[in-house]
Order: sequence, then structure tokens, then C-alpha cells
Amino acid sequence: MKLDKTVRYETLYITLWVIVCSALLESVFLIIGKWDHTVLTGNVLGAAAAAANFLLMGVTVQKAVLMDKKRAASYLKISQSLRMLLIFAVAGVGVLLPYFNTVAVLVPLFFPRIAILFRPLFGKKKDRDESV
Amino acid sequence: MLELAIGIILGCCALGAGCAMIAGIGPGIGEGNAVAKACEAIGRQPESKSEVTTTMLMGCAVAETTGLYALVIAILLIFLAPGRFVDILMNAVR
Repeated sequence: MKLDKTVRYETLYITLWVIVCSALLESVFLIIGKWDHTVLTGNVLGAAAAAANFLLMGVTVQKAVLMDKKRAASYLKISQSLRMLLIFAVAGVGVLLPYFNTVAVLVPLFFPRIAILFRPLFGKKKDRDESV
Repeated sequence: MLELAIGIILGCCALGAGCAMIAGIGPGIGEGNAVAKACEAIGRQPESKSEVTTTMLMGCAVAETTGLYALVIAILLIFLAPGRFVDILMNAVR
């Protein structure tokens, strides 16, 4: 299935922010002196899950907007439940296995929210003009 | 007595995790409603599909964060909290 231009752009934007925030998280662990390889592996796992979750949501939305109202609503509900299960599995693996730092797995899941929070500042100029 | 206390700890953690996951229902319903309205909007103005999709994606991501908060709390209650609480109990008993 071909990705829509809008979905591709937004996923790239979110992924970029997730990478930037991950770098910040790593530096925080370095500064407080608690960095080890589990922080890096945990961060990679959490960041990949967050970006994949957003991409899957984008694909779902791209398909759903072409459906009729009722079918689209139920399609998104099912997709949300499945994505939640996926995140649960990833976070469970991250928490249970000793190769991953728990905090470094869980915190990156919220990085897309931070990206959206800063979107009015760093988004496209057109978006900024529209939001004023 | 100690077994009972450990059982209560485990039971309460599981109950708490289940209660936290009630918050996971909301985003699903919200996202469903949002996409239904988006379909309506695109049906009325097909040329605005790209803008509607962008706004919807961002809205869905924000709505989903609420569910993620609940999920993280549930994961912590299931996997981490019981061990910590049992350790605290054992230290108190000694």
C-alpha cells in the first residue's frame, strides 16, 4: 500500500522529534551518571515503538477517511485496540527483560506528544499562519 | 499471615492495573468519532482532504496519549509494583 504524502510528512516529522528527544534522554542519563547499554537499547525499543505506533495510526487514518462514517469509526476503534496491545507487548518486553532500562523504554512512548506540543513553533509556515 | 499480605498486595496491584486500563476505552471512542466527522468533512469538501488528514492525525495522537498514560501505569502496577511492595513488606517483617 502506498503511503499518502501527508501521512509520510507527518510520520517523518514525528520520527525526527522522537530521535531528538531520545538524544536528550540519553544525555540526561549521562549527566546523572546512570547511563549503561540498557539505557540505549531501551531507548531504541521505546522510540521505535512510538514511531511505529504513529505510522500505523497514519496508515489507519489514511484508509479510514475513504470509508463511510460508521465503518471508519469502528475501523479506527479496532486499530486503536490492536496498537495498544502492540505497545503493551513492547513495554512488557522492555520492563521484564534485563537488557532494557524500564524508564528508557517507557518515556519515549510520550515523545510524539511532545512533538505535537511544539508543532506550532516548528511546523510549516502555512500551518503557523493558519493557527494564528 | 505473610502469605495473605502478599496475596492482598498482588490482588490490589492487578485490580489497580485493571482500573487504570478503563482510561484506554476513551481514546478509542474519541478517535472513532473524530474519523467519522473527518469522513463527513472530506465528503463535503474533497479538496481539503490533506488538511483534514493532518489535523486528524495530530488529534488522534493527542487522544492516544491518554490511553498510553493508563497503559504505562498498568504496566508498572503489573510488572514492577508487586515486587517492590513485597520487598518493603519483607523488610518490615524482618
